[in-house]
Amino acid sequence: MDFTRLKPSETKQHLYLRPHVGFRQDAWLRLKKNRAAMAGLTIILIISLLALFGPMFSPYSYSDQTLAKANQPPSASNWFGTDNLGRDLATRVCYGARISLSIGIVASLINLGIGVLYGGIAGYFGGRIDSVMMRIVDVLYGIPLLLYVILLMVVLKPGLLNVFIALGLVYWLRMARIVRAQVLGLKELEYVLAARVLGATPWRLIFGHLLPNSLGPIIVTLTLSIPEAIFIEAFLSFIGLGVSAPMASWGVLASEGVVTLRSYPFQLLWPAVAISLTMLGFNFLGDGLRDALDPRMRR
Amino acid sequence: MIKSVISRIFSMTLVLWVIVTVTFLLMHAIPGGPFTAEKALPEAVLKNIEARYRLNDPLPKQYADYWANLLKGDLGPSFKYESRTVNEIIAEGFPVSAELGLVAVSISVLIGIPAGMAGALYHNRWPDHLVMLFATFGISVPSFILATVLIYIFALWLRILPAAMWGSPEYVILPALALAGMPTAFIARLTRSSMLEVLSQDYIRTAKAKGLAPIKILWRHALKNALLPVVTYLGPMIAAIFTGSFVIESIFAIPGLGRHFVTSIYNRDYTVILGITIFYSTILVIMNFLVDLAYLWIDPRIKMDGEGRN
Amino acid sequence: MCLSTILLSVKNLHVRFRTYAGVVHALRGVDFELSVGEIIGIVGESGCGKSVTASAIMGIIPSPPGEVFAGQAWFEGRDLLKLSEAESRSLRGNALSMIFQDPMTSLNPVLTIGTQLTEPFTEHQSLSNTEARQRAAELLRLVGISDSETRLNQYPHQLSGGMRQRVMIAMSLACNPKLLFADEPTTALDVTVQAQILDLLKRLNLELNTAMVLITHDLGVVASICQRVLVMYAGQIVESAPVQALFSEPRHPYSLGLLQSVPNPDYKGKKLLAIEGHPPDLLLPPDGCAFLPRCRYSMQACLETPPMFSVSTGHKARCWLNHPDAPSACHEVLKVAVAT
Repeated sequence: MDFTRLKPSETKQHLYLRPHVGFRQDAWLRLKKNRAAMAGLTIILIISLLALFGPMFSPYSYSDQTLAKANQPPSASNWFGTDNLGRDLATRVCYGARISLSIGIVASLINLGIGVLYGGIAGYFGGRIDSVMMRIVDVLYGIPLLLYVILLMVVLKPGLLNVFIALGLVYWLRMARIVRAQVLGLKELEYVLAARVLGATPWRLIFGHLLPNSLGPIIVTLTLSIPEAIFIEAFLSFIGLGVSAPMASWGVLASEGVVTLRSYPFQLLWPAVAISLTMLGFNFLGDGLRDALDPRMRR
Repeated sequence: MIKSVISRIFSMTLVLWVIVTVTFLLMHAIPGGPFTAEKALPEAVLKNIEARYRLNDPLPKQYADYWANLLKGDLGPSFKYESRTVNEIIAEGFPVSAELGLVAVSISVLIGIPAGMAGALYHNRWPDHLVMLFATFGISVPSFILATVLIYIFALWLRILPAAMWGSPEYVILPALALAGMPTAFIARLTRSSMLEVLSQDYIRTAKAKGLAPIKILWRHALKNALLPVVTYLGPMIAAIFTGSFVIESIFAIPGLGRHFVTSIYNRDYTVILGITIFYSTILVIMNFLVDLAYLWIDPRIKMDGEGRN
Repeated sequence: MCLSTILLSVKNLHVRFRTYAGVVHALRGVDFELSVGEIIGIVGESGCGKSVTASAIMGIIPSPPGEVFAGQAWFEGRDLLKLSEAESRSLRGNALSMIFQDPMTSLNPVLTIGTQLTEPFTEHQSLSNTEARQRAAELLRLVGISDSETRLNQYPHQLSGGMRQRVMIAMSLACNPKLLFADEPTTALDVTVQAQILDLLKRLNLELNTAMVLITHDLGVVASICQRVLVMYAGQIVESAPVQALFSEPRHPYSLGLLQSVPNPDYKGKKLLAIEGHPPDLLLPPDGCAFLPRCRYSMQACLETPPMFSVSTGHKARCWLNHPDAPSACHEVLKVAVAT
């Protein structure tokens, strides 16, 4: 045996240490492995592309009526067929995608803007402020969401903008609660105390430390709230309170399709599949994100 | 314990008050009054209606009057159907909806919970993937779409079940299934994730270290803990069943409260809309309250301390 | 040590876990023996494999990710690692038992103490409920909890931390086990309570002759009640010695490092001595000595994995410094370090 001393360079340190994988990379790695989540992401991307570019490639607009060609099954000239007024269904579905996705985006922005801020403030300041703010949330939460949106729609008159408004007024509650819970927990951690001791102002603490570190649950809640928003719009349109004809939301298409279910089932098929796939995609993605961002499952 | 019960009752009353007030204000916030949307009615008729519904009283008086009637249990007359009161409409529709709802809830619980448990116990193996697949589909396919698919398959194609109307038991099946789709899926997912969480807890490890049989561990140690979150879901689930019923009853032409609600929206029958909203909300609030009580009672940690909810 | 019979004999234990990042080799060849009524301690940093060792022997390693893929654990004439699940279960909580670190989370919050305490009796000894409750009350008295009837009807959150740990201990002793694994039993407790619990364990060991394996990262715990110590690092045992011998004459640089890192009030004003670096990643276990990058005494020889060397009776160390052919400087270097 060779007992001569070993020089530090010869100790092969590098073989012993694991490459440091940052939290974000680790999360992305885990997400990629989740096939359902990746499938969801793909679906969302495809639908987004259809929404953005679909109508451009179509020779029809969503309201072009050709009564002679009413209720045609899918054909070369109308890929999805036509509805009872001869409008091209494929184009209308793509327009519906625009509406649904915009609802999703708006709902997210509202969640983000109001919900995160509200929850962050309540959680950070705690005490009286928190009690009052959360009491308000609790009371509002006790009111069934859909009921309120319906009521608001009755008052505001149907229309896309009003759907946004109605959703906006009540949709941020869940996010507020979640963010507040996160912030309450994070507030006690040492690095926050350290920052405070160093003289950081509350705003800096909230925006610079607490909220960024709550990003995980925020992203997951955001992703999972989108299907709910899409559903609400579809539901409202279905019962006649959402966007109105001739605008083509998926809910409107579905309600039109239900009427002709026996004779022309394909008219319901497209919006049904579209709604379901989109919601499915966001749900899969949201689930995957939740698993990937969960720090406890981290290696 | 008593303390938190009282605080809950207080919250509940507050919520109900807010609901009634906001709904009332909304109804009366419609610009120009409820009748301007209609084609112009003759002057005399308008006067009549205003007198009957006391629309000319100052708002606070209308509000107080409404409360007075409410506390007597009187929700007022229907706007559209002159001979009917809101109470009558509700009395007619509610039992039907309740029956439908009960069946739907039973399906959700009886299928959802075992499915979720199976998924947790066979985590990452095929039963789990299967359950998760169905469950994710379940929460993604809106009830009205599920309803139409079911109608298409069972009523139009296979012709073994009726497509609409109400009557004997076979009329309940399709609507209840459509209504139960989303809640079942949600319960399955919730049970599964809750069970997975419980199974990774230290006290399960202790139970294993004591050499207890797996069935016993599951039944005695895991189940009670795992079902706690599911109990909390019961409140929102009832809400989901209510709102789901609006569409399902419309599609299946079931004479339930949900359909009356949708019709009243379509007709702009404001007193009915107001009345049914309050009715539904009250039931929901009471349900949530009962669920909270049940939760307090089941979880010994909370029972003892009488602390507010986490 | 007087004449004693071997209760547990572990040979070449290898355990691995499949994770999404790869296969982690948690135990890489663990060997040790335990005599009847003996108390040994296993020390090491977090992640070195001490808990995994106990779990593997008890048979409670979660099986989809974890796998015992080599080794034997002989207990009462049977290899515990080759038992069927049913056979293993009949021993658990019975002849072999285990207590864990955090008594709050280790007890089921929705079941009463009584329910949880009577389970080992009803499961392994087929006692009726009344008999089981009587025995449970006796157990509580044994571990120093008075007022046993009231306690049996209470829930875990109504007891203090120390009491909960006593309940855990009581639960583990229900069926008179021959061997008790205690995984960090005092880490989650206050210092004063720690002492009480350790005293309790010592007393029970003397009264019931139960052999104990105390897993801990705290050398103080080891010093107070253990008779022998195993030092673990990176999934292997690197030193095994009687307690006195380890403290006065450690023969592995890691053991030395552990001893030196305990703050000593006599050395006021001097820098705290910590061991630099981190334990190796067990996803890719290193060739050669696992402690190499952090060792102050590394030699060329260390590029090869060292075997266990016998230093004296009952004292072994896995370090080339102890090779019989090593120059005397090697033997001395650790002694010098201890002296300073």
